[in-house]
Amino acid sequence: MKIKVRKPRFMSVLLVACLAGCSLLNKVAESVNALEEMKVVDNLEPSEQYYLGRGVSAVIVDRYKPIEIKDQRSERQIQYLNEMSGFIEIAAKDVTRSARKLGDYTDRSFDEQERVYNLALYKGIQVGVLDSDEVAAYATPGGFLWISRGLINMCNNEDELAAVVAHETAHIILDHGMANYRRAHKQSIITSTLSETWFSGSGVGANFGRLCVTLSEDLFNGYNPGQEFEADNWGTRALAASGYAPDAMVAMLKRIEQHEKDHKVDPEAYLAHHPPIGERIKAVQDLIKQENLKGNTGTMTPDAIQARNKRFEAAFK
Amino acid sequence: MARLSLFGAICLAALLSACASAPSRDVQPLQTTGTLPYRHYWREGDPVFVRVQASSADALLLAEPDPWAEPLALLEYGQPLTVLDESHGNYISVRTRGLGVEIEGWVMRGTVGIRAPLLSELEQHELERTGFESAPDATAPPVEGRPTEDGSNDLARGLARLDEHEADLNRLRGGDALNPDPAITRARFRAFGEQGGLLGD
Ligand SMILES: [Zn+2]
Repeated sequence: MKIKVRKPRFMSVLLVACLAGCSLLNKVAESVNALEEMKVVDNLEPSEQYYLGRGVSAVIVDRYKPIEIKDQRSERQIQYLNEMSGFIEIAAKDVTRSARKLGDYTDRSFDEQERVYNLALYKGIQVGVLDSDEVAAYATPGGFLWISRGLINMCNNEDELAAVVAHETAHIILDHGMANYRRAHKQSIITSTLSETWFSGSGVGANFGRLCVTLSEDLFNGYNPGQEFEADNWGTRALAASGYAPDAMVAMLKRIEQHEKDHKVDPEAYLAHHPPIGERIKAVQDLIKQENLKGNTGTMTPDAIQARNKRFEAAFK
Repeated sequence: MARLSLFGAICLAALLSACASAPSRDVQPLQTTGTLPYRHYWREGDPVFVRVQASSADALLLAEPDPWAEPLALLEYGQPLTVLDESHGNYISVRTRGLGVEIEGWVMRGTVGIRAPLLSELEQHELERTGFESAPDATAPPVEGRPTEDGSNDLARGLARLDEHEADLNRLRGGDALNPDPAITRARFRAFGEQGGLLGD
C-alpha cells in the first residue's frame, strides 16, 4: 500500500504547537488527525458505500450460497422480503437516528453523528436469502441485507420477520459497519487515502478485494454489544412507525434465546457475539414501556393481522 | 450474462490486465478528498445535487415533507436542485427544472449533497467494462472454503452472482431489469403496507 508522506506539514504544525505549549499541541495534533481522517474512508458517498457493500456481499455469497429465483415460490419469497424492507425503510424515515435518543449505547463523534443523520442509500435496501440452516443475518454498508433460511424459518409470523428486517436495517442506517472499520483500521486509514486503497494502478482488484474481505471478516465476527442494543432500539421504533407490533422484537429475541439454549450455540458462531439475550429483551421491553410504543390501532385488528400472516405463510411455510 | 456492474468491470479489467501481463492501466482514482460531502444546514438558494441512483425509491421529488407523499417528478443521479427551505427537519424544499418546467417539491435531506458527482471519472470507469465482457471464468462454479488472501478471484465470482441477484431485484421492483421506475417501486412498497393492513387509520 502506498503511504502518503505528510511529514513536512505535520512537522511544521508540531513546531508551532511546541512553541505554544503542550495542551495546545495535543489539540493541534487532534485537529490534524481529524483533518486527515476527514479526507479518507470516512466520507464515502452513497455510491461508494454501495460499491463497497457489493464487494462485501460478493464475499458473503461466495461463502454461503444465496437462493436464486428459479420458480414462483422463490420469486415470491425474494419479492416479499424486498417489499417488506422497502416499506419499513420508507415508513421509518422519521425514526430518530440520534445516538443519545437511541439509548446512548454507542459513542459517536459529532462528525460520525452528522454522517448518520445524512446517510442515504444509493439504491435502497436490497435483500437476499442465504441457503443455509444457520441462524444468521448480515447487513453491509450501502444497503445489502442477507438473511439465512434458518433465521426465516425461526420466525412464526410476518411481524417477527419484520423485527429481523428492522434490526438489520438499523445496522445499515446507523452506519455500524463503517464505524467498526474506521475504528479497527484507523491508522491505515489515516496514512492512506481511499483512492490509494481502492484504485492504486494495476493492483485495483487485489486492494479492493482485501478491503472487502477485511470488512466481511468484521461482519462475520458480529457487531459490538452497544451496536446490537442500538439496533434493537431503532428496530423496535421502526416496527412501531411502520405499523407492526413492537412486541414482535421481544418475541423474536425470545426465540433466539430458546435457540441458543437448544443448540448450545458454538462460541465461534454469529449468535455468540451478540450481548446476553436476556439483557436485550429487557432493554426492548423497557423501551416499549417508556416510549409507549404500539402499532397504530388500525394495524392490529384481527383482519390486518390475518392478512399479514396469510401472505407470510403462503411465502414461507 | 446479466448486467455487469461498473465496479466488477473495474476490478476485472485490472485483474485481466495484470494476469495477461498487458501494460498496466492507469486507473484514475475517484476523488474522495475534500470537505464533508453534505451540509447539515442549508441556506436558501444553495445548489445541491442528487446523490442516489435514479432507480432508488428516494429519487423522487415529493409533494409534501412526508415519507408517503405523492411523487411529483423523477430525479436523476447528479441532478442539480436549488434549496428553498430547510426548516422541516429531515426534509428540504427544493426547486428543479424538468422538461423546461420549474417544479418545487420536497426531498429527504440525505438524498442531496453539495458536490456534483464526478461524471467524467465514472464515464472513464465505464470504458473499462470492455475488458470485463471477455472475462473467462467470472461465472465459474464456486469452490469451498474461505476467500484467497487478496480475495480477487472469489470476489470476481461473487460479483458475477450479485449482478444476477440485482438484475432479479430490479425486475421485481419496477418492471425493468436495467432501469426500474422509482415511482412504481415506491407504489409497490406502499401497496405491501396497505395489503398487510399496516397503514392503519
Ligand atoms: Zn445485530
